[in-house]
Order: sequence, then C-alpha cells, then structure tokens
Amino acid sequence: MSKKKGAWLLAVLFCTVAVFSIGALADEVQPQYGGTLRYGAYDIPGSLDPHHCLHRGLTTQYIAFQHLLKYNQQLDFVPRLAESWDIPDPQTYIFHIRKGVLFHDGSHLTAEVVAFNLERLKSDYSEYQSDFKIVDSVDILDDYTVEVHLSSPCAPFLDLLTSSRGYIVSQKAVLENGNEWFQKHPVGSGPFQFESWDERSGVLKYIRFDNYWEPSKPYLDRVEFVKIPDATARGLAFEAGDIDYIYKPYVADLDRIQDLGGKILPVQAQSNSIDYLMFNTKESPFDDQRVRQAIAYALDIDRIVAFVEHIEPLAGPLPSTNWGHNPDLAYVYDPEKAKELLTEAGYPNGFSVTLTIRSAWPLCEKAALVVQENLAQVGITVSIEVVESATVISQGRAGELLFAILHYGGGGRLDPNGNLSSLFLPGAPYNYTGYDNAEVAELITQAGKIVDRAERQNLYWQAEEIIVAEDIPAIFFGKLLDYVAYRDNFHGVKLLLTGYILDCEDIWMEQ
Amino acid sequence: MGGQLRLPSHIFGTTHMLSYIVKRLLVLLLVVFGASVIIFVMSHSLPGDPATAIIGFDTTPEQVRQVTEKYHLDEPMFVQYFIWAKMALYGDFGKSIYYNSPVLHLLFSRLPVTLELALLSMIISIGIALPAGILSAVKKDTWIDNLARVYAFVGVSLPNFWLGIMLMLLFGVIWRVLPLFGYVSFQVNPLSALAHLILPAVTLGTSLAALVTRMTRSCLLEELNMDYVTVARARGLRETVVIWKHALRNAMIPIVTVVGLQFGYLLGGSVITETIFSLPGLGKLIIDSIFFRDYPVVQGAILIYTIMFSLVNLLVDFSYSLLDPRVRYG
Repeated sequence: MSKKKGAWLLAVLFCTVAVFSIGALADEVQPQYGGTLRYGAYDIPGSLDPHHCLHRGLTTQYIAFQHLLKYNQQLDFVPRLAESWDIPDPQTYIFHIRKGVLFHDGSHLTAEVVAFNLERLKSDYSEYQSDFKIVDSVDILDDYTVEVHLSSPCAPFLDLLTSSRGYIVSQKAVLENGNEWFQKHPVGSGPFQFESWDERSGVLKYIRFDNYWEPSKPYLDRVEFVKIPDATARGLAFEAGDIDYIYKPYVADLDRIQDLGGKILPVQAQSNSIDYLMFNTKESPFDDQRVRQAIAYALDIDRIVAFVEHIEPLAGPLPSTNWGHNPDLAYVYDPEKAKELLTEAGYPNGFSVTLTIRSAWPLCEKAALVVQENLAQVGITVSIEVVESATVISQGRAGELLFAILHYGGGGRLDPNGNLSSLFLPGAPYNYTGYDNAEVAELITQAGKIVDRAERQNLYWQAEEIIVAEDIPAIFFGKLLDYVAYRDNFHGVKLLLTGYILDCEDIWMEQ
Repeated sequence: MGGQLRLPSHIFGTTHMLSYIVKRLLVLLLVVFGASVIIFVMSHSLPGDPATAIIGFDTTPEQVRQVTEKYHLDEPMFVQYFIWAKMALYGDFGKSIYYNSPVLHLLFSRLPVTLELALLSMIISIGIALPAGILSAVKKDTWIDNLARVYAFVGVSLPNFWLGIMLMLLFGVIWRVLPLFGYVSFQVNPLSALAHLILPAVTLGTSLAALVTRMTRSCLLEELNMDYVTVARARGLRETVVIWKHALRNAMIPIVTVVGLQFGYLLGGSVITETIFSLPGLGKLIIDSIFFRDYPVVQGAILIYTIMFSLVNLLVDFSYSLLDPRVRYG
C-alpha cells in the first residue's frame, strides 16, 4: 500500500470514527423531552408531607420537594434552593435564597418560607423535632436572606438540611389548607408537581412542573408510583412492560432483569448504611475484650463477601467513600491467633452462643452462615436465631441482645457524625453494644462541634482506630446491597448519595 | 363462633326463631367484646412500639416518645382499652399510625375489595367443586372420578403464591391478556374490575374448590349408600331425581358448613394472594398493621372481621333449615 493511499485510508477511518463518536456523544448529551416513568414501589407512604412521615424508606416518593442544598459526588455541598451560605461562627448559618423559585401553588420561595419550614420542623407536628431542636432562632434578614442560630455548635447541620428531613414545603399551601390536607396533597418547588393519589389502589401520580426554576428541566412529562408489594410481582410487571423502574427487585431476579434490557443500580449508593456483627460488651463472654478480638481474627471477611455476593466490604463503621473513613483500618484473618486469644481468655475449648438476626433478610442469613462456619473453626458453636425486626430493636434498646448481626441505615445522612455518635456514644439510641469509652466519646463529641472538615476527619480517624483495632464492640464486615432496576431506554437515572432517593429531574426517556 | 346446630325433639314456631336470632345476636356482642379484649391485650403485648416498627433502626427516642404520647401508649393497658372502647362505641376507631388515615375510612375502603374477591372466589370454587364432586361420586371409580380426585389432591397441595405467580406469568406476561396488578372497583368499570380480580379469584377459588370437591364426593357417596336412596330407586324414580332431590340435598349440610367457613376466612382477606396481586384488601392491611404495631388498625380490622365471621356463621346455621326441614332453632 502506497503512503498516499495509507494516509487516505487513515483519514477516512478517522472521519468515520469521529462521525460515529459525535453521534454517540450527541445521543448521550441530547436528552429528549416527554414520556412517563412508571415506578414499581413496595408501598406508598401514608403521608406525603416530608415533615410528617414515619416511613423513611418511602421518602423516595417526595419528588415534589427540594432541599436548600445537596451533596455532589465528592460529598461537598452544592447549592439547590439556597444559592450560597455563610457560616460566620459555628452557631450561625446565613442562607442566601435563590430568587425566582416558584412553588406549585404559584407562591414564591422567600426567606420567610424557609424560616416557616425550620419552625415547622422543630414544632410538635414534626416527626423530626428532635433533629431540629438544635435550631434556636431563625431571623429573616431580608426577602432572600435568612439567618439561623443554633443553640450549640453542630457540624452536621448542613448535612441535616440535605437529608429527607430538610425538604422545603409551600408555606401558603400549609397555612391555607392545614396540615391534614397537606399530608395528602404535597406542594413543593420540585421539578414534578402532585397530580393525584389513589390511596386504595396505590397509584401516586406526579406531572411535570412547567414553571420549575431550572427552565430546561425536567425532561419527563410524568412520574407515576405504583404500589406492588411483592418483589416477584414487581419483576413480572417489569417483564410485561407495565413498569419501568423496580424498587428492590429480588437479587435472584437481577440476571433476568438484565437479560430483558434492564439496568441495575445499588440502592445504598454512597450512603452510610453498614452491616455489622455486634457484641454486648457488658455481658459474658463478650465483656472480655480478648474474646471480641478473637472473633475479629476468626472472621474471614473475604469469605463473607464471596458467599453473600451482594455486599461491599467494610473495615470500619463508615464506608470507604466517606471522608470520615480511616483508610488505615483493616481486619486480619488469623484463626490461630483467635484460638490463642480464646485460650488466654479462659475458653480453650470455645463456647456456645446464639446469634440473633432479623427475619426476611436473606443476605444477612447468608452472612450469618459464614460467621457460624468461621467461628466453628475456632471452637465457638453458633446457633442462629431469626427474630422479627421490631423485636430485635426493642431487645437491643433494652441491652438484651448478646450477639447479633445488625444493620444501621445511616439515617439518610452522609456526615460521619451520624454513624459514630449513634452507635458509640454512651446511651446513644443504637448503642446496643453498651460501648462506653470516654476517650472515644470525647473525640466524637468534639468533632461534632467543629466546622473545619480536615480537623474533624482527624478526630474521627482517631476514634475509629480505637473502636476497630482495640475495643471491638462490633465487627463491621460490609454493606449488604439492595438494588433498583430500570429499563434501558431511561437515561440520567441516579440516586441521591444518601441512597434510596431518586433524583428525577435529570431522567429522560429515549422514545 | 357460637353457632351450634340443634335438633330438638319438639317443633318450634317462628317466635322461637325470633328469640333464637336475638340470642345469637347477644352472643355475637359477647364474642365481639371478647375478641376485642384478646386482640387488644395480644397486640399490645408484642415487643416493640409503632415508631420503631415503622421507622426501623433509625428511630430516635424522641420519635418513640412522640408516638407513645399521641396514642396514649404509656397508659396502663386497661386505661388504653377503655379509651379505645369508648371511642369505638361512638364509631371512632382512631387514626392509623402508618397510613395516617382514619381507621374506619381505611377499613371501608378495603372491605369492598375483600368482599368482591371473596364472592368471586366462592363462585369459582363452587362452580368447580359441585359439578366435580357430584360427577366424581356418581361416576365412582371411572376416569372422571379419578380426574376429579387428582384435581382435589393437586388443588389442596399447590401453594397459592406459586399458582398465583404462574397465572400471572401466563396471562399477564406471556399472553398479556390480563392485568398483573392493581384494583378497579366494580362500580367504576365492571369489566376492568373483573379483569383485575379474575386471576386472584381463580388462585383462591381453585384451592378452595379442591376441598369442597372432596367433601361433596364423600358426602354424596355416603348418602347414595343409604337405604332411602335404594328405596327411591326401587320406586322407579329417575336417577337424576334420586341424586338431585334426595341424596344431594341431604349431603349439602356439611358442604354448606365448609363453604360458609371458607367464606368467613376469605372475608378476613387472603394475605398471600392480595400481596402477589397488589390488591388493597383487608388481609394485607391486617398483617402490615401487626408488623407496624399499628394498633388502631389491628383492633378495628379484627372487630369488623369478628362481626362478619359471626354473621356468616349465623347465615350458615339458618341455611340448615332451608336444606333440612327437620332442623329447628331454639
């Protein structure tokens, strides 16, 4: 082949590749308008008022609302309904509210509305009163500036505002129609507005909000939530083309869904949800630190991960994606060392113990089987007891759980303070282990008062090191995964980083 | 539930019938009271609280306190029962903690679904069971009998969830002729309502029919071996008259009892079938409410269920006198 011919061929090849690449790129960046997303949900919440809803797993359906700010992929805060904010001191937050934002009822978003929302969140009506009681006062500086005073420094305050608790509702709609009405007729400023809700049939419909503050969005015309309680039935409805999106399909159905052209996303995203093996540090034999260390050595986390499959490994009380996670932590599998420690602790022949797990949680059952097998190798006989969820929680609160596999969902928060203070501060709501270390408590409490992230990170890392490497009130083996599945002609589907919640405004349907 | 068949030696008149009804209704009141107390004590004795059961591990102590205070859960149990019973007497069953709606509204929105499903399932069940049972008895030891017996065996053994999912797969996914989920009221669109209910009704109906088929077969066979049947045949009566007018009528009493009981259970809702077919019936509501410790709904639903079950029993008892004139009530 002559040089000239070769150059021509190369040029033609280059052009072809370029044309196709541009075409593909254009496909990716040119969203289409129109279409309906039909979302198969296991339930519809009893109240669509985000300030008054006990069932948080369903807050994914609050697409009528938005937050003042949200997290980006790097876990930094980015503007939403607030354009910017200042923190002049750890107890004062000034929010500059976005201008030109309309609620679905035509009212405007102003500083007064934000103040009303914060007052509503700390009132008796709110299910989140305890989270917002930190708000001491809210001052309206001008139409679009609001100053929030906290009663004490609270580093995770912005994080609180990004959670499902921090949705901004229409003041006008609440005042004119009352709370009861609002629970069934949500009015927010989000990309989709409430259209109808057939409570009996379980169909909740949202329609595109044409006056949304981002004029080019949303792309879809409608989003419909359909209640299909059974996961198998949701899978069949997806297969029949009746729904486009499945919340928590059976993991056994995932391959089939993918064969049908479905895409899969893990629900937990970067959320702080964790699964762990807890010890009651106040009760024998786990009151002996050596026994807990022995079990940490006896546990083969790689084996758990391989057997459970749908799990992301952990090495601490925070996932590796979180800035509070100490990357130096690791569990070491060494059954011989475990036996030595057990002998030292006075259990040369091991002992028998009951492991409590929650019912209707197949992945946890698989993890429990590996725990049982691993501990049998060092002489500990484990019998597995399956208990209904509410009973497990009440036993945990009463300090009656001896040895269990538990799940902490992260509470829809991404700040490390959530996991660490809830699980390890003495008397904290989920401190089922009875863990009480003054040094750790001081580190966590201090970190919760500082605004600077680097300083906080340092304190959390120190606390985690003591918890994971020394005291071992629990072994954080992984993050068991749930999934969502959606049809491949939908693009831009992403979950908020806190998990579960669907960010609907970027979704578009290829028609 | 209190309904006992009585065969007194004396013949009683209509006044006795009336006093019987009054007596039965009084017993019904006692049953309802007893059931409400038992359900109240049992549901409140379950470990856990509504806030924790609904929210799960993320519950804060303040949330537990809020719900506890709002629903008087910190009061002694008899005080709580008294508060509930007093409100219930005025027709106020409180508000659901989970569904955030008045309990009565919730129950009456679910009741038609359950009633429609129960009726359709019974029609399917009886529609299959009676002909199959009668043919099986009359054509004993023929291929028809064997077929009916195999059906009865398979019908009893097949789990509802499996049959339901298979029906969904066939009719909803492969042939796409029937909807897979949802509910449409008969008042809104009868055809669409039927399309939505037919698969769940067949799921329930075929398994119920299996038992009634066996029952019909054995009861009818027993009657066909009686002397009076032989006498009727000897008198030269046609076989159809012998079967329909004599034997079957006598065989009906145990069959009606079983069908009545099945209907009573159907009124309580079939949790599995309702769940698979996403039907908003009473069964799923009761089970969810127990899991969520949604006490007001559990209490209200069980009360309604007790009343319905007792009434169905009463109707079954009355039907005996229609089937057998010797049956009198007193």
